[in-house]
Amino acid sequence: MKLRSDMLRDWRIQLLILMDLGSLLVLLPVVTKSTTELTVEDVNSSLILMHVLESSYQNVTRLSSALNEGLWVHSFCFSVVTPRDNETMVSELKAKLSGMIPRGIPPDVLVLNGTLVHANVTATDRDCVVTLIEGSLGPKGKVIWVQSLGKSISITVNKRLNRAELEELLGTSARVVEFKTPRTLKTNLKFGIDFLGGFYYNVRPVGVTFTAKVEAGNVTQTLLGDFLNTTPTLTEEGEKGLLTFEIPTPGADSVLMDLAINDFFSTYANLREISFTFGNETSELVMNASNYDALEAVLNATFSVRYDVVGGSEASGVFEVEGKNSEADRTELEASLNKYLEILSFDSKVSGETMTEVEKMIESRADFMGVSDLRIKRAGEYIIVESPERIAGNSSVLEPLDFEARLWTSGNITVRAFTSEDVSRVDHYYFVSEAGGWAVPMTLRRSAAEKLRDLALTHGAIDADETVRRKHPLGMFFNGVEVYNASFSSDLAQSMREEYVVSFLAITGGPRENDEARKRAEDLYINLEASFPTKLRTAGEGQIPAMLGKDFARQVVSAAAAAVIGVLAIIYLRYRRPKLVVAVMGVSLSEVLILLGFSTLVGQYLDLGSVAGIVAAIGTGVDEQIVITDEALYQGEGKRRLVMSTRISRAFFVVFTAAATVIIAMAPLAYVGLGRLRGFAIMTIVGVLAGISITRPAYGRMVRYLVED
Amino acid sequence: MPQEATTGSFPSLLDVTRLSSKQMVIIPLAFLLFSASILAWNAARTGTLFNYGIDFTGGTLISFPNSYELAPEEIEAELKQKFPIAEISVKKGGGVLSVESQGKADEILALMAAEYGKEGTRTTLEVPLAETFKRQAPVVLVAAYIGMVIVVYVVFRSVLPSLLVAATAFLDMFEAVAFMTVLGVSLSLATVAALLMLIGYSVDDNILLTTRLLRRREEMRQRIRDGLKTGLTMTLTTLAALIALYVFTTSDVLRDIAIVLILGMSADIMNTWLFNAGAMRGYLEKRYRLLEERGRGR
Repeated sequence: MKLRSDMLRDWRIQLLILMDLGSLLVLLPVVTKSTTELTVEDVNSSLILMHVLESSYQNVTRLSSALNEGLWVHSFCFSVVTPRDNETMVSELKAKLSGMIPRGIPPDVLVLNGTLVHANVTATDRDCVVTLIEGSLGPKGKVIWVQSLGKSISITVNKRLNRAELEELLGTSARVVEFKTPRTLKTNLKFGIDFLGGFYYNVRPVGVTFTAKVEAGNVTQTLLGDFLNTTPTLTEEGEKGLLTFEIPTPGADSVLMDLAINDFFSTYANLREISFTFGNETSELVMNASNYDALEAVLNATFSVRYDVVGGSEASGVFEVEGKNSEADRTELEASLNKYLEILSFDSKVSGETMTEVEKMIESRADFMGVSDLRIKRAGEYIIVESPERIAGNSSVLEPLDFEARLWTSGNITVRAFTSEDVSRVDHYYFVSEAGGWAVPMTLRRSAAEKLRDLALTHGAIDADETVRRKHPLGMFFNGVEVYNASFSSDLAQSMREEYVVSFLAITGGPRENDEARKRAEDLYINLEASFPTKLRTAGEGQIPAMLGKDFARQVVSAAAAAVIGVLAIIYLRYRRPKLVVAVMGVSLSEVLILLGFSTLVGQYLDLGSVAGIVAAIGTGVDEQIVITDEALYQGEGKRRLVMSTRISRAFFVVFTAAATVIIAMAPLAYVGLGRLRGFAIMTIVGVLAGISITRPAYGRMVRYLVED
Repeated sequence: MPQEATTGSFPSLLDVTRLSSKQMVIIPLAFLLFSASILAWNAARTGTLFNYGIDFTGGTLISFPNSYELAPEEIEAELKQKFPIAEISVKKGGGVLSVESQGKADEILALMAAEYGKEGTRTTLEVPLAETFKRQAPVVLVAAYIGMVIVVYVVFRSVLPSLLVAATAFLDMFEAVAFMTVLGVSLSLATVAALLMLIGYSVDDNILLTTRLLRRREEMRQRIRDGLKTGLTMTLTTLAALIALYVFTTSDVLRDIAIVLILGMSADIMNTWLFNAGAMRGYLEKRYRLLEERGRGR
């Protein structure tokens, strides 16, 4: 007993215990929980919707249904006969339908005649089945995880369900293929898609950045020379970018020269003419151009793709330039820019700000699409997106939505009015008190505005008569799904009858408290405005089915158990000291605990790479414990008998050297990342660091006590 | 007890010091030649030096774990017939059926699910990214290797022992790669990570060996025997953990990492305790002789 209290008084061992407790605290604030994991297939969302509608209304008929492959949504049209025809009825029906499809597109309820109501509903199988199940859970029940993989949808619910009751609830509208009610130990550990199942995408925002050294004098001299086909001389470089040129003009016409100079300054609009004095032999031109102006002029004149100056300083003349969507390489850039300026460095990736913007965009897109739990990491010029659900291909989280506005011409026939290219600007949505509704301000290009006016005039959409206008509303669609529909207001119609109008307010409804209208405005704004700053190229993708992910997790646990048994058996066979075996096991488990605690603390997701990293770190850890043990047991011979501290410090020479080499060997991988392998490098490095700072010193102490007893 | 643990009876089978230092060095070098000829044979057979996986060539890899009952040849024939343009090749190892193809990933997944009830993990890489990886991976490996050599030199401050540690790590990696081609394990990001880790593991027991030989004072052969005992314990525990990982998991990432390390660590036993130990022994014995002669001369 004395021995043990001695050990506990050592600060190294105390530190180890403290770290263990800390890690436990980080990992385990929650106890076991009942959950239900279920997978359903062959979901019939139309049946679910019918079922819900029939519970409140009579004579529900499904008129049509269509599957939109792009968004994987179904569009249904139901006709409902209502006992009375009034506004409350319609809004009741709308509220009911919206509640059923929380993430879908707002339902559209049209009163046809008398008591016949048509409801257009757009919903996904996933939303319908989740809504149905969630509705049956009672106040505290919640769906905590959903994944749809093709036709099967896996759902985890935070309480224990009864299979028979669930099957009764679903009826023929879905088939339960898997049903489990495990009591799971809930920890704060965050599992990656490798263990949960899901998809990952490696996307690259297309673009380049480069830095260039610019001298306004040289640049403008070259531009001027090329433009006028002469060789101007820069005679004076004054303060504040005042540049004086002498242009040889023997036998030139002064009027033509004036015109040419005017032309030059309208071509390079950001260079400013100060004065032009025509002479018979030489003319003098004074202009004002900073280095920045000169660079802009070159970029605008040389490229059809947009290049923006994103940083730099006027004084040094060194600027950073970003070409979003440019796919040029350094040689190409140099070929077109060399006569103006010098390219100092080149990188075939977009700027950090653009990367951040793209990441934010992906997040808000996912939010709009109802995909939760997206994980976004950066790896060099790539962005790695992990998602429990498929988000690429046609599903538009990673791809721009196809937007178009269509005008109703007669009956149900529509004609395209404008597309996203025609929208030059979209501003943040707000509540317009004069109009009494939420609105998204948007500006059309002139040509599109003219076309819209022509269309509207031809079909009567801006007729003076409101009833005529009502028959010809303007609808807005994303990937063919309608998100907005309204007819022109009388004010707007009047202005448009007089002349084309470029600025509109797309009013999505009111009053101010109407959250649904606000949400519609927000969605419209996000999807129109926040188009990706650059094209995204999907360079790689992968998927792990949920079932296999869970298999992997279970396998890792059994592999770990087998590894522990194997390692401990070897150590016992070698030393025949049970206490040593316990010490090695305790220290190694501490290391695992500390690593898991660390990854939870920094919000890292546990994937296959990081599991391999933990294995690697524990592997070297055990190796080093063996080194320490053997050195501690070695007493030297005769006169050279070594005291314990010398032995242990010798061991630590090996331990520190080995640790340094592992860290150095993993550093390049931690830096480069190589796809999804950064976790491997980080876990190994952190494991080794924790080893040399916490667990190895503690083990050294334990061995002292164990060997000396 | 402590005495027994370090100097006690040593199994004579494992006593490498019965060999002369020249013999100790020659055996691993002969093995190196053998590995090189395996690589050459593979190169002659396939036309490329290494088997690059889709991580470096681009394409799609779909792995179906728990597919013990499926015959890869049959599946390959079936898929090739259904998707003639997709350049499909099918392999199997440890119950994991791997399908490599160019395109048609969703269709193959759907077919395997419908006909055999198998679910698979999929990785698709476009060529540009694969080329980026192919460019980066050697840089990462070489940088890691050079970093390791520098650390070892800084610690030992002696050229030959550091070079020997570096050479041993190289032998381990080279032989692991050679035997990967025999087992049909292709170079992938996971195996590159494993090779990096191999540098770390390989250096572990080499540092132990070098330290023991340079610092301890008893008879040379005893130093090697003691070191071998510690080193073997280290390597065997590592191998035990890796074999557990290889046997109990069906994830191709973990299995690839495990198998590369198992190959490398097995080679490492020989390279460390024959090659490095033999060369160090020869070097030290020569140095002692010189010192002795110099001492006598005085």
